[in-house]
Amino acid sequence: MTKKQETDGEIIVFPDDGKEMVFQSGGTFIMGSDNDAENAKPEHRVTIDSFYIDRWPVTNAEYKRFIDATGHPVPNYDVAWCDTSGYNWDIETRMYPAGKAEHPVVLVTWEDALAYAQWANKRLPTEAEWEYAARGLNGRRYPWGDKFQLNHCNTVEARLNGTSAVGTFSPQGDTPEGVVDLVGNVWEWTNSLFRPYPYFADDGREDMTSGHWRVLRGASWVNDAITANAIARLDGDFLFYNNVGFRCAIDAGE
Amino acid sequence: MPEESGSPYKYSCRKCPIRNRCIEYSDSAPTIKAQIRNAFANKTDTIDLWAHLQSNCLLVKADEEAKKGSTESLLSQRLRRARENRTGELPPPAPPPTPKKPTFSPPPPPKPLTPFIKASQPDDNLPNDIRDPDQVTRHEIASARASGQRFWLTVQPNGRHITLPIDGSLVLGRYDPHFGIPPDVDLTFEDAAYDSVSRRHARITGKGGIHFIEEMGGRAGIVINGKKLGLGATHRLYEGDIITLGHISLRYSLIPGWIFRLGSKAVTHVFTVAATGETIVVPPGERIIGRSDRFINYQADIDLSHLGAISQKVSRRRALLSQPMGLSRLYIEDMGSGFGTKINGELIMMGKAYPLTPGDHIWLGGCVLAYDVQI
Repeated sequence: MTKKQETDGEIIVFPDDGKEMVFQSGGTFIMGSDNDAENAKPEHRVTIDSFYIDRWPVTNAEYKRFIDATGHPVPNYDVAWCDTSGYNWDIETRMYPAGKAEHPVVLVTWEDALAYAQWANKRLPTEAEWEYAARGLNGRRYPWGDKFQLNHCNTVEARLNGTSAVGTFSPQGDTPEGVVDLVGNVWEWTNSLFRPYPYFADDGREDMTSGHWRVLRGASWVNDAITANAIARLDGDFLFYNNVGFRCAIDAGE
Repeated sequence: MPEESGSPYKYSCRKCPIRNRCIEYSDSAPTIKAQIRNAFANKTDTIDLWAHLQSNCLLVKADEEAKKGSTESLLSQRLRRARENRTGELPPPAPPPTPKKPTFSPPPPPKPLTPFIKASQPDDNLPNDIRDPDQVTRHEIASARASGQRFWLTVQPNGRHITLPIDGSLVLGRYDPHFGIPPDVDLTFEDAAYDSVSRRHARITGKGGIHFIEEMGGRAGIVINGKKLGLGATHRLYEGDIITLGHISLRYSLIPGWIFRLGSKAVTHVFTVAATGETIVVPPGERIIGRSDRFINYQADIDLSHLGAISQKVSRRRALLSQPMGLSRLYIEDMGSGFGTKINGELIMMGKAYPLTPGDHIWLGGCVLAYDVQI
C-alpha cells in the first residue's frame, strides 16, 4: 500500500480483506464521563497515535471470506442462555443466515475476532481508539453529536428487533470522518481488558494473552437510548451473544 | 459542651469525646450500633438515634457522682479533663464499616493471569454422554424425593453455605448494578479480588432433590472435578463434587441432619449480604428487614439502607422475621412491598411465614442475603 498524504477522514481500502478503513489522526481527547455510569468515571485525557479503523463492523460476507480461507469454525450454537435462531450459520454449507450478508457477524467470541484480525494482518482497536473514533476531540456523546436522535442508529427505538445491514443509518448516524454504526447495532469487541479508569495503554490492560474480560463498546439493538452512547463500556464476561460483533484497526504511519 | 436547643438530653452525643467508646460498649444490638455509626458518618443522626446511648450516658453518671460528693472516679476525672480540653471541633467521623471499591485509584498492578482452560482442548472436557435432566428416570427422582435428602454448596474460601432447592432452579453469578437484577446466588463478595464470575455463570436445577448444573456462557466456564463442562451442557451433581466457577470453588454435599434438628438449641441467626460480605446478626423476637428512611423518621430493625445502590430496591418494610416460641427455627414472611421475596430462587407467597434453613439465600429484589446459624 503506497503511503499517501494522510488526512483525517481519508478512506482507504485495505487490501488483505478488502474493507474500507478510515484514518484517525492522533491527538489528546476526553475519555470517560463524570456524569454517566460508574465504570466510566472519572473523566480524563488520553493521548493516542494515529490509526485506521474499519469503516463498519465486520459483516457476515466479510467473515465468510475469513473462514473460507482459514477453515475457522462457523458460529453455530445451541444454548439455553442465548437465542441463536436467525444468527446461526449453517455448519454444512458454512454459510451465514439468509439475507444477512451485510449484517455484522455475531455469535463470535473475542478469540474469533482476534483470529480474523490476525488473518487480515490487523488488530482489534483499543478501548481508547474506539472511543476516540466515536467521540472525537470535543467529547461529543454520540458519533453524530451530543443529542440522541431517532433514525440515527439501531437501538430498541428503531424497533428492528435484530441486527441491521451496515450503513442502514448512514450518513446521519456516521462520525464526521465517515465511520459507520459505532453506536447501536452490535456491541463491538475491543482489545482492552476491562479495568477501571483512567485508561493507561501500558499498564497491562492491552495484554492479549489474558483470559480475563474484554471491553465491549457501542451498545446494540437490544439497548435503549440511555445505554447507547460513545461512552458506555460493557465487561464481556460471556463468550458470545447475538448482539456482539467486532471491527478492526491498524496503526498508521511508519 | 453546648447541647442542641430543644434536646431532651443534657449532653450532646455528637460532640462527646467518648462517643465512639460509648457506642462500642453500649448494650444495644450490633445493628443499632452500626446504624448509629453510619448515621453519624453521613450526618443523618437524629435525637431518637442517640436515645439508645443517652439512657446510659456516662457524662450524666459522672455528674451524679460529683454531686454526691464522692471521690471522683478515674473515669470521671478522664471525662472531666476531656471536656475541659475540647477544642470545639467535631471529632472525625467513624470510618464506614462496609468495604468499598475505590472509584479512582492509581493504575492497579496487573491481575494474576489465571490459566483459564480454553474450550479448544476437547480432551479435558467432560464426556458428551452426560446424563441430562430428561434422561434421569422418574423412579430415581421419586426415590430421591422420598429420602428427603437435602444438598448444599459450600463456598471453599470462607465456608459460606448455599442451600439448594428440592425443585426449581437457581442462577449463580455476580451482581452488576448497572445491568439488571442480582442473580439468585450472588458470589460478588467472594469473587471481589478476582472478577472471574460472570453475571450469569451457572444454573443449578433441582428435580426431587437431584441437582443438575448447566453452563451459561460465562467466560471462565465451569470446571467440575477438574474437567471443563462443555458450552451449554448440563451435568448431574454427585456428593463431593467440586464445582469451580472462575476462581470460586463450591463443594456439593449433603446437609448434615443435625441442621434440621436444632430444636430449641440456642443459636445465633446471621445474615450475610452476598454482595459485600457484611454480616448482620439477627436479634431475637420479631424483626423487620427493610430500609431505614430518615425523611419519615422510620428505622427498620434490620436496616439495609447503608448498602447504597444495592439496597435502593429494598422497600422500607420488606420482610418480617419471627421465631415460634421456644424454637430455634427462624421464619421469614414477605410483607408485600417490593419485587417479591425469593428463597433459593423460588418466590414465596405473601402473608405466610416460611422456615429458613442455614444456607438459604433470600433475594429481596435489590440484594441477596445468605442465612446461616452459629451455634
